[in-house]
Amino acid sequence: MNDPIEILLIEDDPGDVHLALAVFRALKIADRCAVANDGEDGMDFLYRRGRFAARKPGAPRLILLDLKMPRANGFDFLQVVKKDPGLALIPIVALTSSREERDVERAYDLGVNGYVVKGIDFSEYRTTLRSLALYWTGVNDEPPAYVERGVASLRAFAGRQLQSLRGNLSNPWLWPMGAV
Amino acid sequence: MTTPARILLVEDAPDEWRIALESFAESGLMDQTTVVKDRGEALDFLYGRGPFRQRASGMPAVVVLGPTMKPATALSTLGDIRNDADLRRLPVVLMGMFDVETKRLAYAQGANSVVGRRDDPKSRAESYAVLGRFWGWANVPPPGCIPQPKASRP
Repeated sequence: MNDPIEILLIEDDPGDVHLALAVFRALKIADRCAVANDGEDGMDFLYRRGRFAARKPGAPRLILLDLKMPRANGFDFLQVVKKDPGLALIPIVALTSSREERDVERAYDLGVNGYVVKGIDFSEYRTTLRSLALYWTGVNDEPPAYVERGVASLRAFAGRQLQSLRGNLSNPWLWPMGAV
Repeated sequence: MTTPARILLVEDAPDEWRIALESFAESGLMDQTTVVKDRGEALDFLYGRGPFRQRASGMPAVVVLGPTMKPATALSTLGDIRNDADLRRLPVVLMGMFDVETKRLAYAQGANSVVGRRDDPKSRAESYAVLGRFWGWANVPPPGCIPQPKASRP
């Protein structure tokens, strides 16, 4: 996968993955779509760890997130990703079979950019997926690039290190023996 | 009572309305779009006050801050919506030519989406059409908004 990833699909149901990929294939974006099997796997993708440790850096333009999954579900995933300043701005659309108000409300409260319900009618659902992909990969302007966010995170990290170093310098107990 | 507005477009340039409304018409959304010209009118509409006291109930499924709005005004309007307990979940799309920092701020302040302004009217019409199909048909808005239509989409 040399091209940047357009869509990260986080979905545990192989049938739903197959259907989504078929729609993306027709739009010629399937080869720039990555699939993670649950929230934990999705986080591994974003943090480039586990089976994604060797992937090239870069964030997807869109994350499509199922909500009901084993291990970390969609809500767990949102709670982690939306709190990480390096990842929080990546657009996330919930893609779920739940139309329950409680889930819709909770997903928006946790920061999803959109909420799409998997239809029971196959052709209707295909049209929905198509509109979704066309909008988020063709019309929506993604947030400033991951690289810039990476640099910002790095700066924040360097800042924290510096602060901790300053803290250590002001604490004589941490000075090496003989240091002034 | 008027037709419920599934799309609230905040835009004061008539040429831009025409492009937007014609594009929304293709997906059956023209008569479900209300156009207001600025931030003040948008808030009056959302709160159902002033000239909009009699408006049909329900919040729009999406608020589109049009491309001729100044970026600072678009960000303030987004802030008004996000800081209000009754409006905070409303999907908001900012359209326009934004620099990197404004775009970052828009997302950081909770914009659901940012759409760059295309100079060519034909590409702009296409953007509105795709936007209408996603926000008007595919997306499930938060509770309190005009729900997704039940009829088959165009």
